[in-house]
Amino acid sequence: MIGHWQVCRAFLVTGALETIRRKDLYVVLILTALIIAGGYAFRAFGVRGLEIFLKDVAFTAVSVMSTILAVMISSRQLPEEIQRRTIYPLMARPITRGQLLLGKWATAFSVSAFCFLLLALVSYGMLTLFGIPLYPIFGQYLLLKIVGLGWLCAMVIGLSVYVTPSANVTLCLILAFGSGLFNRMFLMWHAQEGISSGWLNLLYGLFPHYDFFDLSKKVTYEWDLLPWWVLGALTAYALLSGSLWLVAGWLRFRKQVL
Amino acid sequence: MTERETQGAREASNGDEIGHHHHDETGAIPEPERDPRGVWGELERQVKPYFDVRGHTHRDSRETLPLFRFMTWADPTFVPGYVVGAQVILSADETRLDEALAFLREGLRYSPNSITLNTEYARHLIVKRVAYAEAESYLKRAIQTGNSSKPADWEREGFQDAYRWMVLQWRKRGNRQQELYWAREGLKRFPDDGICLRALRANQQPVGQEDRQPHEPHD
Repeated sequence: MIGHWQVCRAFLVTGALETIRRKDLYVVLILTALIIAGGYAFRAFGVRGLEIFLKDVAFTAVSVMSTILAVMISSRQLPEEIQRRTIYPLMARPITRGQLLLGKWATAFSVSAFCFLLLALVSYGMLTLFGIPLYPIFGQYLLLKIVGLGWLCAMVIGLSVYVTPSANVTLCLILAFGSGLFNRMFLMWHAQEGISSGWLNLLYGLFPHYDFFDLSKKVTYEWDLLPWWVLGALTAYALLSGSLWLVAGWLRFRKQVL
Repeated sequence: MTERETQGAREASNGDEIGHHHHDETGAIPEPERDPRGVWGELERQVKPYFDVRGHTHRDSRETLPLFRFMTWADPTFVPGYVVGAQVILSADETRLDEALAFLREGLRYSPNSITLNTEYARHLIVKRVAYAEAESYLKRAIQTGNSSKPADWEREGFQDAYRWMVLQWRKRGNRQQELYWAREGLKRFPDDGICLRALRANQQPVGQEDRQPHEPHD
């Protein structure tokens, strides 16, 4: 049996080549750069406090684009292998279905994290060019977002064996972008109906919290560094929740007729 | 929270009075003692730019002025931009009336037949400058425009206000005949208008006979 690392490395190389070939990243990079440059145009109108506005525009663009890229990259990992029938030669090799799923997650996660870092780097470069400094919390922002992308990729890969690719993309984008709204709805429900805090916390824990991995507003408004226990707690949450998504995917995939 | 964060967070930008304090408010993220979520709530307060909103103050609303400048440059016929922009100029400093009026005149140059802009300009002349005669001409233009063509929905309020200010400015000038004339004219278009009705009732005039209105009396 081939080791996990070898499987992941092989998938990673093909996944990276596939992403470069598809040119999604270039489109997203150009779009992000245009959005930031467009925001800079406001300076011509004498708008004060432009630094905050530009940072907000830049990090919102990076967050949205990297999330969309991560969902798109992850959602096509398994279904395309099945659709193109390239999964048969893969399964003919001495690897388990669990390793295949893990390798696909590792590929999606690595490529998504790379795309995110590239987007963040371009934004950082443009902001520096405009004379707008970034503070140390930017490092924590990068770190936490990468952890969040790992969790997101696990959710998308896990769901990709249950639903069709288009339904998966739609569902995951709703869960990712709507996570902040779901949180508010739980609080409103508690305030209106008075459900017990025990139930509230249980349900709250079951729902995705992708918005917790986004420190862009704190970067924009130049806050101090977060206590490290917060990063630790969120990493533990991502590991636990992400593993559950992958296990759920594996439970279905291991018996799936291909 | 650092000093910079505290300052930035507590001075939430808004149109309220500068230095106005809000003691019993809560934000989208509740304070620890109001939050039933325990560790989830604490995590959210850490990763979001959370601050305790109780007792915060507001920043100067004039900071938004460049945006009104921008939106009216981008679209010189954007009437609400001129109306709200003029109000923002005056909101923090009543002595900048000339600046506010100049901003409205610029809007009138691009939209001379805007009912809302004519009424708004007249309102400032009446309230801030007591220039009744000058205001009357703007109000007449607003009313003529409203009567000669069907006003857009968003201009209806300005159209009704034009009649109201016309009635009020004639009352201030002590011309009862004109006040009653414009109150009856207003009721033809807006039969439930409180200011026009009150003008008639205060002068013991019959209500509901506006169709028998004579021509506009001379000053």
